Amino acid sequence: MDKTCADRVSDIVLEDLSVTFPVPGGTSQVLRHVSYTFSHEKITALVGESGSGKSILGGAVMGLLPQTAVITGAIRFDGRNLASSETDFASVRGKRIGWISQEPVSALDPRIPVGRQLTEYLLESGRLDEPHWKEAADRQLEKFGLLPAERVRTSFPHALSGGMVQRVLTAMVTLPEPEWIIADEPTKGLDAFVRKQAAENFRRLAKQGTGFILITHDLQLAAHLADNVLILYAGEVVEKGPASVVMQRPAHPYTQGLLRAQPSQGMEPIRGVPPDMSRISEGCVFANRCPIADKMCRAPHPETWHVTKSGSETTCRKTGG
Amino acid sequence: MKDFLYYALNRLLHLIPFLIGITLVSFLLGVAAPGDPAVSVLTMDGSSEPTLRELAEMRQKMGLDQPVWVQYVQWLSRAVQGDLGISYMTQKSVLAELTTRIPVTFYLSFCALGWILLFGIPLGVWLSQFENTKKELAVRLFCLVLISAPGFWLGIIFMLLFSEHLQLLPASGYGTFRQMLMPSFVLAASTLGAVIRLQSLSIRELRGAAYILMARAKGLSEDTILIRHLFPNALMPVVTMLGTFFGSILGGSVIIEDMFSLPGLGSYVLTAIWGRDYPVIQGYVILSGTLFLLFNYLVDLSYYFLNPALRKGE
Repeated sequence: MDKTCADRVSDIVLEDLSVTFPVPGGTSQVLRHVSYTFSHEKITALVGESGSGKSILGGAVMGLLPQTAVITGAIRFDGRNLASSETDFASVRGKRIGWISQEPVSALDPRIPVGRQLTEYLLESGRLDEPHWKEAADRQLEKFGLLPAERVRTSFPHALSGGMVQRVLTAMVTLPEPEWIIADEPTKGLDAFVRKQAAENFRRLAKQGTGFILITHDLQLAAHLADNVLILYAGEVVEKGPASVVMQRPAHPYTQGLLRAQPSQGMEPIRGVPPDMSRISEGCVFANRCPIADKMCRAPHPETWHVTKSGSETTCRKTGG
Repeated sequence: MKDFLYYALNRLLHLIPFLIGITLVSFLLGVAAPGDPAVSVLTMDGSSEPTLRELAEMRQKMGLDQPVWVQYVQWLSRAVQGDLGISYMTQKSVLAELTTRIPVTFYLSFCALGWILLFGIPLGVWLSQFENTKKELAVRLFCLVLISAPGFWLGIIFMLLFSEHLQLLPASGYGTFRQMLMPSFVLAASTLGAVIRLQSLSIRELRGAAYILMARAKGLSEDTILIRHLFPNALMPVVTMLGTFFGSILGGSVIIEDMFSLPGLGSYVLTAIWGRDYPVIQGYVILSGTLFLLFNYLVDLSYYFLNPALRKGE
């Protein structure tokens, strides 16, 4: 098996990436004009509430969106634009960019023993020989503390706990040694202890040189794990910057609202509801829920990035300027 | 293996109350039937007129003077020993008559099942690839016709088409495989249509399942995903449906056998119904009910392989 060397790993670069779905009577643009460079040396967290487009972004990079999705813009990886064709996606999927599913517990085929699913891709792609699959599986399971490995290998998914399944998934995704891992809500439905364990695993992987994109609505996890944070709202990135800055001194009113909505910060909800994605107005996308929005915010204006004093960037013309 | 035997035995024990239920229904059918069985037996030849004395003797001989539950126990103990009584019409043992006809119905049912397994399931898998296309719409309409067309109508149309016009297939008779093609297809038709639709829908529904997305994200090819993950998981609801539809195949065979002059259970019981030959009807109810249970038992056993979550007890 070829070793992953840090200098060979490519960044993932999004250029004006938009995703549109047809809906009855029009289209719904669920991701709008996202440009960002995911640095392979950093753990980047995509944060936003449900429907903010963060999972769509992850799915777009993996080429896992439903066939009705229309992707415009570019996803550059290792000199190629993945968004240009399905074969480009297929050439990196699993092999070079791994993806950890949103629902750990239902992400394994209920009919197939764990070990078989773990090694399935390597066997199919000829990187592992049939006679050696058991040893390869056991080695990987041991690496993730899934003991006794033989018992876990022969178990069916329903016989494992949520935390174990989460670790099996991570073990499975990392087995082909991908250069990147995109984890979509990897800790959903898991208890605090298991979440912490998973976070440690991710940190270890990142240290070993794996690029990491963490998609989550769990601000604690993002703050704990990520180097950089992207805050998404209604399909747009509204704030980006180093995790410590964004979490300590949020610039965008939406980010401020998200932080205030945490249980530890008084659980104060953000008023209003996200906009209808098929009817996005020209002005600031957050204006109708924003406590400090004025007429100018609601009026059409080009999206510009304002750099704050502390080093983060925001689209808010009032707090960023 | 030990797990499987335990599971198989457990499922088998679950059948017992249903078997008792079947015999009870079958027995009560005889009790509730109009007319006096003793009169039926004594007037079988159509000419004799029994005296009251003869009738009383016959009632005693047949145990009809006993309380109903005693009659049931006696009848049941004879039934489990293979004595299902004597046909009023032919004076032959009901069991012997049924056993000579079972192979015909079995042959017909298995040919019908063959249509479903060989065409229904593959067509359903194939159809699942063409979501929202004209091709899909056409096959769906075809399925709708198969599901909603009554067997007797379809039978007549088929005979007209394949026997009268095209002269390809024989319209009746039993013995060769060619003779089974048409009746078994007509018998399978509604189940076939339903299986095609259910198989394609269940595959389509599973497409969005987390483990299918995960399989795709792993880098597996679409073919592998379909064969190894989608299809086996999507088979569960189809197998379940086949279990219940076997009942409709057995019931449907009554009309189909009569139409295509097949000497099976169905046509036999139809004659018995016309002649109010209750021992035969009772025997048929027991036999077909037991076969239905047995088939569903096999379906239950197949779950063991289709759904590992069932394996560790219940």
